[in-house]
Amino acid sequence: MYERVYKLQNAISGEPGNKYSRSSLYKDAWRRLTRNRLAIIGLSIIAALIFISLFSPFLATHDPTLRVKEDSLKPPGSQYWFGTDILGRDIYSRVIYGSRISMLVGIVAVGISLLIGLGMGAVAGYFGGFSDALIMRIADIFFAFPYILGAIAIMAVLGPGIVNIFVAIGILGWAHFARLFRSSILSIKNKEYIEAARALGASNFRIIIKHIFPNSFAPIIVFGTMNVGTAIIVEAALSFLGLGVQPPAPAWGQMLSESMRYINTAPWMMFFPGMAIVFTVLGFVLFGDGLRDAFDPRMK
Amino acid sequence: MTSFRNIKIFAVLFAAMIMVTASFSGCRREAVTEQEIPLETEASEEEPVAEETAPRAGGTMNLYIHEPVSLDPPNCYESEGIQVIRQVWDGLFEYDPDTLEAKPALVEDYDISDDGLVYTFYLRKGINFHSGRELVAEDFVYSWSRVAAQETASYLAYHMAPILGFDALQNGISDTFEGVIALDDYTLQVTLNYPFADFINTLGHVVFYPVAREDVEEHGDLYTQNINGVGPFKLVEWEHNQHIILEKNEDYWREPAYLDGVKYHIMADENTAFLEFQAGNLDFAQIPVGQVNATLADPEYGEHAIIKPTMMLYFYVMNVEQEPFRDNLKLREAISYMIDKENIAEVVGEGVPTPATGIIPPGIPGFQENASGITYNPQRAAQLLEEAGYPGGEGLPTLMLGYNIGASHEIIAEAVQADAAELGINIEIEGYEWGTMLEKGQGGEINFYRLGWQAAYPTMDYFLYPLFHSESADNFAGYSNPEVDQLLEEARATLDEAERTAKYREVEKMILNDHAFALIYFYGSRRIIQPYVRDFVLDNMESYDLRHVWLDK
Amino acid sequence: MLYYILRRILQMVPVIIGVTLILFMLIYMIPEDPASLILQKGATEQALANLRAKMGIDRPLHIQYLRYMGNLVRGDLGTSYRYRRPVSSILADYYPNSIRLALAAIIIEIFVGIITGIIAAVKRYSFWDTLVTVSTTLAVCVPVFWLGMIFQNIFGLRLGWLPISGMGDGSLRYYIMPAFTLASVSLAYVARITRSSMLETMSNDYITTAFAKGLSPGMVIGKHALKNAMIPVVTLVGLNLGTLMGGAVLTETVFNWPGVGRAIYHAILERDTPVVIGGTLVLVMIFLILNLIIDIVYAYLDPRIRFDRRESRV
Repeated sequence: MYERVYKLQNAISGEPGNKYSRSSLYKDAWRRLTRNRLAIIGLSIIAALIFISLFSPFLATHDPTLRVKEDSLKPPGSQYWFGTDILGRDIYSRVIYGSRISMLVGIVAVGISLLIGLGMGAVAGYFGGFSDALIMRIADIFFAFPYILGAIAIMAVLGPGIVNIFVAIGILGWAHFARLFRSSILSIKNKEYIEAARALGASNFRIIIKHIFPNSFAPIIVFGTMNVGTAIIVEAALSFLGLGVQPPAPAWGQMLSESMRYINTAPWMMFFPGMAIVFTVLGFVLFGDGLRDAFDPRMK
Repeated sequence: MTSFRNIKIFAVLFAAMIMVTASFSGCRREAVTEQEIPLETEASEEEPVAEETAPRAGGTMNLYIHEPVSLDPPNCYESEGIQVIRQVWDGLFEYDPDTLEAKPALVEDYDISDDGLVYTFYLRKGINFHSGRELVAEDFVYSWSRVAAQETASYLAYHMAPILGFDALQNGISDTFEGVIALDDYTLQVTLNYPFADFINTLGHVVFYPVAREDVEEHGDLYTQNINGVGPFKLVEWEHNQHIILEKNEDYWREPAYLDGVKYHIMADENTAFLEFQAGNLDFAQIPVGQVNATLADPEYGEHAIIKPTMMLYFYVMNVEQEPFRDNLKLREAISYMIDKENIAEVVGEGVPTPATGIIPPGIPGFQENASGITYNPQRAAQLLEEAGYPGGEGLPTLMLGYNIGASHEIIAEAVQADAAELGINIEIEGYEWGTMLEKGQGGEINFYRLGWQAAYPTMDYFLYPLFHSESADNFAGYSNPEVDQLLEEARATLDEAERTAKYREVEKMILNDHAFALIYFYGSRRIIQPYVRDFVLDNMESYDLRHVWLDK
Repeated sequence: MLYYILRRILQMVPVIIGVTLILFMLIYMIPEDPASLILQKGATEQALANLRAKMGIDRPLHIQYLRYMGNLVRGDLGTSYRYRRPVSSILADYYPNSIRLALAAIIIEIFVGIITGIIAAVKRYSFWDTLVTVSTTLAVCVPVFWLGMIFQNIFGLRLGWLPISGMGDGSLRYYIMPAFTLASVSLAYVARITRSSMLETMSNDYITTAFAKGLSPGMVIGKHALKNAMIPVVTLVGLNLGTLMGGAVLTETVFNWPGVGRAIYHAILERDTPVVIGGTLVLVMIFLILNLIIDIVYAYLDPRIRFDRRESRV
């Protein structure tokens, strides 16, 4: 997990892509994005997931928590498309409802990381000096800390539950955003138009929000998109370890964890939730890749 | 252009993944856990063949265990360490593997004073530690004082609590154990705080094993890997996370063991161990979760599987001091009838556990068949619920059911949740860390939660007094019934075995009628031995004595 | 150079203090105390107090922390609550297993990852290039624990080629599945980065010149391109050794591998604070030291890099 986060950033390269003027950058990027079929596939998967999570009750064929005692461990068939688990619950419906948890975790947790990261990065990059040194040393600590063990420890403190997952993943992920944003700021802080804005008496806050933020938006949105995939995998991993959301909420990782016992008697139990995770993450990774290529064509 | 090809290859790879995984989901259908498993599959217990051929000496037995926490008696609190040191030591008393009654081992004879307070033990002479020094009564005085001493902070000290002077040692007020005196080298006198007739039955526990002062002083904290006992095997080495090797004690006070040695292979995982077993590298292993039915059906190994109940109870506490369980017997009774224990034991537990029929598990002397008489009965539960004032669950607040994370407790909780839903009772389940749950349970923050209670020694008292006496620290349900308290105290003071058993049986029924617990099941063993292992008896404490075991190969 | 190394080592101190402080506070916030966790039965107040005193958790947080740091300076990581053995001896049991598994995973990464990456770069836009790109993208999306379970199911259960779990007698076949599982994600990144780094290097003028001079493709790629293209790859692989150990919790759990990640995970659940802190601290130190070594190697591979310029990189 940790390596994933780390390397994603590496792969993206921390350079903000503002060689062009802003409007043409975004226009060009959009043009390249729509021409990239893989990115479109990624976007479609994400759209489909949003659709599935919004309309779960209409798509599910059963109540995801309904137990049918007689139907324990039924293989996939016409009644239960993806089979049933040990308690005779419909795995298809559980996978459908599970999308809600994953999407929620992915988006909210990354949102938290983003907010903390942008705040810290802005302070560090814009004001520099002591606050910069302090924030970057704190970031160092978070980088050196084994990511998944940190998540386990936080969940052990807070206890299982979806809100706590938001907090755990959110807190652990901010440092990358902070670094990314800070280096963006450093690279444009002394550009003429910022100087000009400052000379015109714009406040620091206004400069950050109006000028700096839009110009360093590209790498952050790329990294953020990919991070959603990571957050979904981390949530699955925590659920797998029993530290995720509370059952009987149908979290994919939790379903996988339960399936381990029945790996030789009921392999469908581990197949479908696993595929669901792969597809979801794939969607975000493809789209993130596409965004990166669109913003920074040199990478391709 | 490339992205076009990318898509195709994506499609092909995905299709391949789906096919690979789907191809094996179809081919293993028969394993759905439905067949009845005969619970007394103890064919391996007593091999009739063993009578015909005379036991053969020699060989090393290979066993599987997890890394023990400790081999030092005061800290040897889990099954793994206990298994090992049972081979290295003998206690004053030991348990008969079939009946689990306490029989004298290191004691030749003993007296109990009429008031049931003073026990005098006459030790056997000529018993030597593995180091060669003779065991004397003073060794017990030292060992027991060490367990009870404040600075030892033993995990198991509470077993000594009935002995006079225990509190003074625990509080650090004294450094001698007032109630434990060596009258001479072979006479040990123990005085109790209160009459406790089961005291003898507790003395087979590992915490009472004698250690030699000079060893502890020599090795300090590392005594745990330099243990020196008086039993049929002696420790050669404990290589952490690798193995523990024991060898035969030729100087044993009884007939020496048949085996030359014992090797415990320390493995983190039962699957690996089972594979090693199948490869013939282990003689004793555990059948992994999920493979019990397949193993029982196996022509080669099926009859050597040991599936039997152990002395451990799985239950849900209902705190009777708190709403909605307080003063609401009918509601508690409804919950008892509502839970489909049979389904849980059979489907979730693969038939290894047995639905609990009472508080005291089978195998404990005095066990009564079907003490509770409660089986799954949703109609009865619905009726009781109505009598409790919640027809169809109406008006009953949502119950919060706590469980500790791990070991499939959440699946059982989910099953119970579903059982409740069928009656209209709303249950929300909540996972906790083990310690958090205990603390919240004892602090009254949660009032309906999962617990397991395992016997340290085979006495009825162990399942009744700590859990239900109103003064006990382990009374999780907040249960308080003056009649029960009185009867428990009386039973403890009753020296006559039969009379005592009758009293405990009565208490068990009384408690069951109050439904402070929703009983789920008695745990079971799922062990397996090789066909050539003879005279191996696994008792209901999941313990065994390798002294009699021999290898027919 | 020496001055630089010294400075870097000094910079580790605040990180170590920060990590221990965070862990201490985290564990201190857990509502329960470890003594009551161990003493499940017969937990009288006195027995709990005795155990707390033995563990040293009867003191206020700052005293506990200062005492721990004092011992740490003397090289003492404390004693496990549960096993009552020195933490160092417990870690000595688990670290070798983790290091071996991580090394096995690294070897797979280097061989499979770098080679496929080079092939993809050299045969750009070919079928192989696409296959590498696609499969590495997919590999990133598969949760490692699920991949491990699928391996177990296919190669362990169905085909019976490899042991399902554990490290058995420590022979090679026990390593194959867990090492591949552990390597899966990083493998994909190594291949990707090798590919893009090779492409970038090969577009440089000196490579074109080398080709123009008539050197054989093998010579150009092997001798000139590879050395420069390897810089980011070395960084990645080097750092992996550290993260593969701490991040292996899931692989170790699925395969029941007696490694340090799983040991720390269990210690967290058991509130065995000294093992949690000691184990994590060693992981962090390994991470920091590897970081330093990589920077030195980095400088060796690319003499243009000077030691004072390292703000933007992790």
